[in-house]
Amino acid sequence: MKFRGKMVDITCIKQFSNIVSTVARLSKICVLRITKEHVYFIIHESGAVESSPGLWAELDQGHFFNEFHVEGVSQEDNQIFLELEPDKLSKTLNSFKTAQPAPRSLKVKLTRKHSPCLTLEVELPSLSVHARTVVHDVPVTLIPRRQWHVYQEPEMPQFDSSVYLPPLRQIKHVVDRMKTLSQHITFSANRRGTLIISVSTDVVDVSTHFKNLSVPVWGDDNDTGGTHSATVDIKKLGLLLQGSQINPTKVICNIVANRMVHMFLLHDDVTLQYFLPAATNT
Amino acid sequence: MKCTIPGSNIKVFGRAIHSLARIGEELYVEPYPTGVYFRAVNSSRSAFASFHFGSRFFAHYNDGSGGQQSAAGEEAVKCKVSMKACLNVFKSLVTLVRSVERSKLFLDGEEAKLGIQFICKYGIVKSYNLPFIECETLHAAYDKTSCTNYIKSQAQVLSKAVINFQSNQEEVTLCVSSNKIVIRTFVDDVPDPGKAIHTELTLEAGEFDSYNIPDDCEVTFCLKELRAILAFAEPINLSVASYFTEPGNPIIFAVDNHPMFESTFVLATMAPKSNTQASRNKATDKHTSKPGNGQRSSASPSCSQAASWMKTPMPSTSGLKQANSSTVRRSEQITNISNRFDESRARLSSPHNSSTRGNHNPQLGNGSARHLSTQPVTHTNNVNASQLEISLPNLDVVNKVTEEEDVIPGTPPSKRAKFFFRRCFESTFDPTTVPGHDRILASDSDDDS
Repeated sequence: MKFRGKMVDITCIKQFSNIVSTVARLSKICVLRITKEHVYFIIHESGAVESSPGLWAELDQGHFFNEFHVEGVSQEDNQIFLELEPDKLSKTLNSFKTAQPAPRSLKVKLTRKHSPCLTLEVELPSLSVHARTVVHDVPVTLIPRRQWHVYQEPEMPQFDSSVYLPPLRQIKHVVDRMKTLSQHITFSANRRGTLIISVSTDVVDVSTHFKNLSVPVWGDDNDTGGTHSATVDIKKLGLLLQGSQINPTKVICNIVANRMVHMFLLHDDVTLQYFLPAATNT
Repeated sequence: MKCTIPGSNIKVFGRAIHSLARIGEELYVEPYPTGVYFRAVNSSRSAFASFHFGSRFFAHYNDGSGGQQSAAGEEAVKCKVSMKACLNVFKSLVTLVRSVERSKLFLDGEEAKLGIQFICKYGIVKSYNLPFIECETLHAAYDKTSCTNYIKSQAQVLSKAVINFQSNQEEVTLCVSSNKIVIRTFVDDVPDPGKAIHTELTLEAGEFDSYNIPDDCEVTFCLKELRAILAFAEPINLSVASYFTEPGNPIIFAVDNHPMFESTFVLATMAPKSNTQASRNKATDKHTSKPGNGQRSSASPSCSQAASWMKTPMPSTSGLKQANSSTVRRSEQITNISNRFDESRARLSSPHNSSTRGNHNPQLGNGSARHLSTQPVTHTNNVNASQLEISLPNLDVVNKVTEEEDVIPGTPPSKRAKFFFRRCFESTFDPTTVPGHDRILASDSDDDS
C-alpha cells in the first residue's frame, strides 16, 4: 500500500488546509479515502461526534496535486481508507500557513514509522540559501477492507424539493439569531424557488422567507408544486455554517420531506455534501 | 533605586517584562551600581530568566546604595513583586509606546513598594504602586564558558523553526551534529506516543552565524521558555546564542546588547534516560519501555536537575511544601479512620471477641491521637477522639466530615470515594437491586423542561 502526493501551488495548499480545518471543526475523527482520481474526506454520522452532520467531501486530485501516486491493497481495489484526527492534520497545516515565508512545496506520504503515519514534508524557504524541510508525522489508522462498505459514497437522496441557497453568510446570520430561540429549525422549500427557514416555540414563531431563488434542473421533473419541509437540529446546522471555510460557488439545498436536509456545496474542484438528518423529537 | 526609562526604550523594557512573565510568577528586582537585574524563575525551578539593564539603558539611573539618601555602604533593596501585577502595568505595549514619553521606576524601601510612573503626552501621569517583599538575590549556578557546544543565530532563524511546532508541544529535542541541527518533538512522556504528532525540522549549519559543535549531542528542554526568549529577541532583531554541554546540564540562551541590556535564559534539560531517548533514535523505534515515573510535566525530571543549580532560600515554596505535607497527613488520617472502621465492624460482627479487641483499641486510639496532634487542630480532630468507641453509623459521620473538608465542588469523585463506595463503581453494580432505590427522598431541585 503506497501513497505519495506533492502540492506546489500555494493557493492549492491553502485551499487544502482550509478544507481540512472545515472537517476538523465538524468532527474529531474522519476518514480519508484516496483513489486514483479523487481524495475524499468522510465524516460518518454514526462514528462521529453526535452533534456533527455527515459529510462527504470530494477533492479532485489533479487540481491539488502536481504529483500523485497511489497503490491500493490490490489491482482491483486500488484505493486506501484511513482514519485520522482532522484536528491534528489541520494543526500541522496551520503551523506553516501562519509562517511568513510560504512553503515551497508540501509532500503528503503514507509511511510506517512508529505507527502508520501520514507524513507531511514541508519545504520552506529559509533566510539563507539552504532549503529547510519540516517533517510532520500525523498518526493514522488504516481501515481494513471489510469495513470499507461503511464509507461508500452516499446515494443522492430522493428529495422532494431542491433550491439554490442564497449566500451561506446570509443563512448563517439568520440561523445564529434563531439559535437562541429554539433547538430545532425547519427548512421548507417548493419548486418555485421559495425557501422558508423557521423556528417555532411556545411563545413565538419566527420565519425567514427567501423568494425567487433559482431552482436546479434535475432530469425527472415530477413537479408537485407543493412545499416540503424537514426539521433539523439547529446546532448541527450551526456547526456546518460556522465550520465552512471554503466559499462555494453554489450551494444546493435538497429537502427530503420529514427525513433529511441535504446540502451540496459546489466548488470548481471540490464538492462537499452535508447530510442533516431530521430531528426525531419534533 | 530610582531610574528613568526614555520613551524609546519602553518597548524593549515592556517586552522583557512580558518575556519574564512567561517564566515565573514573581519578578525579582535587584539593583546594582552598574545596572538593574530583573529575574524570574518558574515554579518547578527548571527555568530561570534574567535581564540586565545597564545604566546606559536609562536616561537616569541611581541604584540607591549609599550616596545621597543614606549612609554609605548600605545595600540597595532587593525585592520581588507579583508578576501578574507588573504584567498588567505593561499589558498593552502598543498603547504604551504611543502615549508614554518617559517612565520612572523607583523602589521605596520604607513603604515596601515598587513605583512605576508613566509620564504620558498632554501631561498625563499614570502611577502604579506594586507592593514588594524584600528577598535575597536570585541566583542560578551556571557557567556559559564551560559549555562545549555553542551556536549563535539570528532570533528569526530559530523562531521560524519553532513556529512549526504545535502550540501545545511541551518539549523539544535539539540534536546537533557537525553539519546540521535537527529539532524534533519529544513525545515520550505523553500517554500514547503512537497517537502523537511527530515533527522534525532540519537546520543546516550554514544558517547559523557561528557554529561550534565538537561532539554530536542531543538535549531535551521545554519549548515554552525558548518561545519566551525568542519573543523578546525577534522584534529587535538580535541574535541568540545557545550554550550547552550534555543532557542533564542546563542549556543557556543569551541575547546580548551590551552595554544597554543583556538577557540570559537558563533551562534545565532532561537527564539522560537509558531507554527513552536512545530507543527513539533507532529506526525500529519501538516504545516498549517507559520510565516508571511518568514524566508528565517537565517538572519531574528537570526539577531535581534544576535544584542542583538553583540555590536561593525561597520562603514561599516552603509554605507550599507545608500545605502539601498537610494534605498527605490528612490522607494518612483517613486511612487511620478506615482502619478503625474495619476494626469496629469486626467487633460488631463478632461480639464475643470484643474484650480482646477492646484492649487493642485504646492503643490504636492513642497512636492516632498522637499522630493527629501534629497537625492544626480542626473540629474533626475532636470528633475523632470523642467518637472512637462509637459504632458504625457515627464513624460514617466522621468520614463525611473529613471528606467534606477538602472537597472541591465540581471535581470528579476522588479515589477515596472509590475506596469507600467501591461496590458502586463495580461494573456489575446495578442500582435497582439496592433496597429502597425507588423511594425518592428529595425531588430534583430544577426541572429539566
